[in-house]
Amino acid sequence: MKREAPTEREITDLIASAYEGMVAPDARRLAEIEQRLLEQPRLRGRTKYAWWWLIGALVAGAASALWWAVDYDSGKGRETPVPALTSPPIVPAAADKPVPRDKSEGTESKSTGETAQKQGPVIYQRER
Amino acid sequence: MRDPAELIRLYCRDSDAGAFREFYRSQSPQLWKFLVARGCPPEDAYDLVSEAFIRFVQNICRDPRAPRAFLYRIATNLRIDSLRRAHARPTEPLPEEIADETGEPAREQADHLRELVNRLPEREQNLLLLRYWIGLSHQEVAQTLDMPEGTVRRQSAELIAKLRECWSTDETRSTN
Repeated sequence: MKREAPTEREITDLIASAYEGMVAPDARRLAEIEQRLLEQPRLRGRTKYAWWWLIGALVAGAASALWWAVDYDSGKGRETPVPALTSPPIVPAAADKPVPRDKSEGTESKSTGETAQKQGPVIYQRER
Repeated sequence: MRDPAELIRLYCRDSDAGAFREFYRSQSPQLWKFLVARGCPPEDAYDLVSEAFIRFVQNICRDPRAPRAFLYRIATNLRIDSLRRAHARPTEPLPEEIADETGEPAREQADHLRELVNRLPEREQNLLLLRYWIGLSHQEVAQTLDMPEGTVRRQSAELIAKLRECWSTDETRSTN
């Protein structure tokens, strides 16, 4: 019996159906392969790799914290003389508060006294 | 069913074994059939599927963009290697037991088509099956067979026309 040749479209469809209709593989055999694949170093290794990242991050964090702690202590030791250097200007300033004021007040009063003494007669004369 | 490329992206990004399992379950039966259709004995096809997936797992995350093309490229190369080792012919007739159980006229057509395809050179058979059966895009076929995409497009059309022509010739010859 002579049949007409299929169209190009029919041929492409026929390719798919001709091969897709083949006997399917044994599902049990494919499952065995799957099981072996899941035990492959790559799949297991990737999981381990992820754990190493976590462990690595924790170790790095601990090391960083330790470094900061040590650095802070050593920095503290270095900071001690610094306030001593900065404090002298403060201490005289604090000491100056009463002293220079008194002195200055004294000098001021002395000077005002002198001026008062000098100006005294003038004022007296003016009041008169 | 999720896109194979998406599944492999998940596997590579998150080490998602479930995504890999889904990819394997969607692809392995068709890969086995492809190898058998390419003349590989069914028993050997299981070994090639296994070997292909092992190599796939080891290398896919370097470039996970076209996983199916990569898988079929590995499988095709493994098949060529096994043929070289066995000094066998590139294509063997399909085993009797793998013929389908569709209706008689459809079965006749399918048998005839497979016969015509088997007469084509190895590379052209791969191109046809990957494109029109496995459903790879032109670009993926090009990657699988290491050919320019334009050549794949042109050859696909030419091969279909050639099959149609051979079909008519064979029908005429068989009726004479």
